[in-house]
Amino acid sequence: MYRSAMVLLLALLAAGVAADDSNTELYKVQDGNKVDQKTLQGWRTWRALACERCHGAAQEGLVGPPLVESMKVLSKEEFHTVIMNGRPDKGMPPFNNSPMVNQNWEGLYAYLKGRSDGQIQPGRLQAIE
Amino acid sequence: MATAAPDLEQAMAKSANWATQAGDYANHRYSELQQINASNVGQLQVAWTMSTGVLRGHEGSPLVIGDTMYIHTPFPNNVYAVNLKDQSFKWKYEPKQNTDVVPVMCCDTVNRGLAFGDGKILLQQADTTLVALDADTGKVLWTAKNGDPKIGETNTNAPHVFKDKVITGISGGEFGVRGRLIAYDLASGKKVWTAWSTGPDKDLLVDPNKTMTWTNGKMAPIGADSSIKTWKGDQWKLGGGTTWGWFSYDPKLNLVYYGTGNPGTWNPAQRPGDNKWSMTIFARDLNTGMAKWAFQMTPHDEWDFDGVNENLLVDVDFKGKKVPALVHFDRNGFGYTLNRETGELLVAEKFDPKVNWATKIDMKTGRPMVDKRYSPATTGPDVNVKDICPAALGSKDQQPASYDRKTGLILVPTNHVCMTYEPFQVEYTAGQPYVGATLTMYPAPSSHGGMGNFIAWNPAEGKIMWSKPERFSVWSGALTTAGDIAFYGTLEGYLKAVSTKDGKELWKFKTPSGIIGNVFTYEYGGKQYVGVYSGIGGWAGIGMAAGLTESTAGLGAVGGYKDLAKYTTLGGSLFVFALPGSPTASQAMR
Repeated sequence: MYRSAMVLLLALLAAGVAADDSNTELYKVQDGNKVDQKTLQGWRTWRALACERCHGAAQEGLVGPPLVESMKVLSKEEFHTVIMNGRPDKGMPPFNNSPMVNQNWEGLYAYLKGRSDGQIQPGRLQAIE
Repeated sequence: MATAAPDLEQAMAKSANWATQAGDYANHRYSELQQINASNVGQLQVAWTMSTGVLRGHEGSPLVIGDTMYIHTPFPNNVYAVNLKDQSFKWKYEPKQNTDVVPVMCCDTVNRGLAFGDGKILLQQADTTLVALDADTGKVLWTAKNGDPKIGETNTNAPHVFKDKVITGISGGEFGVRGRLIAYDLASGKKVWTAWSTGPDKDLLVDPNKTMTWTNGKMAPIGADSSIKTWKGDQWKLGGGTTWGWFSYDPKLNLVYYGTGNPGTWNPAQRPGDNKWSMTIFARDLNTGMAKWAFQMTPHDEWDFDGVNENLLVDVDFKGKKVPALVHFDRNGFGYTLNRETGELLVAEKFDPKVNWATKIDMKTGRPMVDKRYSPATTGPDVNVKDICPAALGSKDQQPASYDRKTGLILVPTNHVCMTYEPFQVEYTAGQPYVGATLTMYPAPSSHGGMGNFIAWNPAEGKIMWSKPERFSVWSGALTTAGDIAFYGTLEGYLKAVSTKDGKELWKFKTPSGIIGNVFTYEYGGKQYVGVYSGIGGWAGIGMAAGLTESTAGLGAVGGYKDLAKYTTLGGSLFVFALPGSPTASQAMR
């Protein structure tokens, strides 16, 4: 979509290189859809585990809560706990038996933070050249 | 020959009852009642309503036997026996199910209804527990477990009572579940047979020399290892072929008919071969489960065209001969007519002119002629294939069609939706989604702009006789009656009555929520009633059921359906309609 791409581009120009509030860089993004390897693996994990079934293709929420909002308040530790143990009472399954989640959960955290920050576009991503 | 559940067969014989989900064994969804007919249906009004207490997708319909109506709900699958005299509850059954089952249910927590027989009401719970309740008291008589939600196995299908057996299936095609049909003894709940959709011959319940399939223009034995040689390695163990649709039964042939769902992952590159027997209609002996014949509609699926849709058992005049036929409207957009005794292919034509993934069915091989432009297996993983028609939810999904015995036509609720489809590599982890494709769905381009049609189909010729456009998919099961009318519900919430002759709309009523349930009818105290559940959800309505209005998610279903939010919201109620006043002698029929 042309219009939303423009909005994101403007946001990017304003923000410069996207970074976490902490001093370590959480993810790198170019043009809204090119990301570093770790974040890319995070997105692939999102896609492979079909997270969009509950959280929506643009993380805007479906049966599950909107992660673009949740990631604004969830700490990295809380995120880790939820994804590994689930919230069975609310319908979130535990993913602690998924090798892909165990390997890439930090990348997934980075990806979702990037989405929540408005720096990463919804949909397909590729590696930064 | 299997012995009967006599009370069910007696109940089905009386048109005052609605004793099975389809009204009969043959999936006709037809009623001989004609107090409500084409000339007076315009006066139809609400007789009574009832809340189910659950705000999720309401599929299936109640049952009516004598003076009692049996109502079911989506998860947590409550059952209410309602006294038709004063609409008071005779009993309630409210199962305690582990909520862990909810995250592993695809496409909303629907349940397609109850079955009756041998003084029992049968409930197939989401958590794969099959329960037999005393129809008079609601007391649990027996339970059986036919799956494990921990590995993604759940149930949405209605159980079916055929003679002395209860037949049930399994859901979980998006979790690598290996499909099977299971038969239980109605009296005791003891498992009698399990027929797997994929795997070695002994699991399939086939005889390599006697089980037949359409081959080169005639029926031929399927041969040894018919399933495992069409998969790479032991992928058949994650083979899908789940069995969540409507089943039918021919007492004369003693054969059970049903379809199997999509194979394993949605990424075709990961499962080379025909992936038998996913996407297949099976005809099985009720007593033993042995397959007499099988017919695979979509070999090596690339689109999620589950073959689970109902099979209507009708007799057709085919080229001047009366043929015992089976008619099936597949997700893949083709309407098939087969000889139900032999399994021979008679007719296969598009029931939506927009279908483009295949140009036609080769009548000699029975295989679709795939158009490479719309073939994600041809372009491979990580390529987004555009404008495939129909979308994954098919030209028709589980919403069942109805056979009008008067005209010989079949009235079919359909989808008119296309999609983009991008497959990608996935790994299997037990209990985790095993999908492997990203898709979006939207109304069929260059058409009437809507996402559905209600059509009349000639099963002998494979021809659309008339087609009534709808704004959204028609996700409600149809009913036809001897009053020359057909009923169906819409996702906006309208219950509509149309003429079976030409599809002309004769009456409509807006219920509080979208309709994905099936229309049913019964007679009580000399008066005919027509009813339907109102409560949106299911695949088409999952965005709505989940509180979402704008998205491209829900396995791609929400994008095209987001406009629904302009028309309806969640609900959970039963609506029952009748003509005004008490029945007069002339109205009180026949």
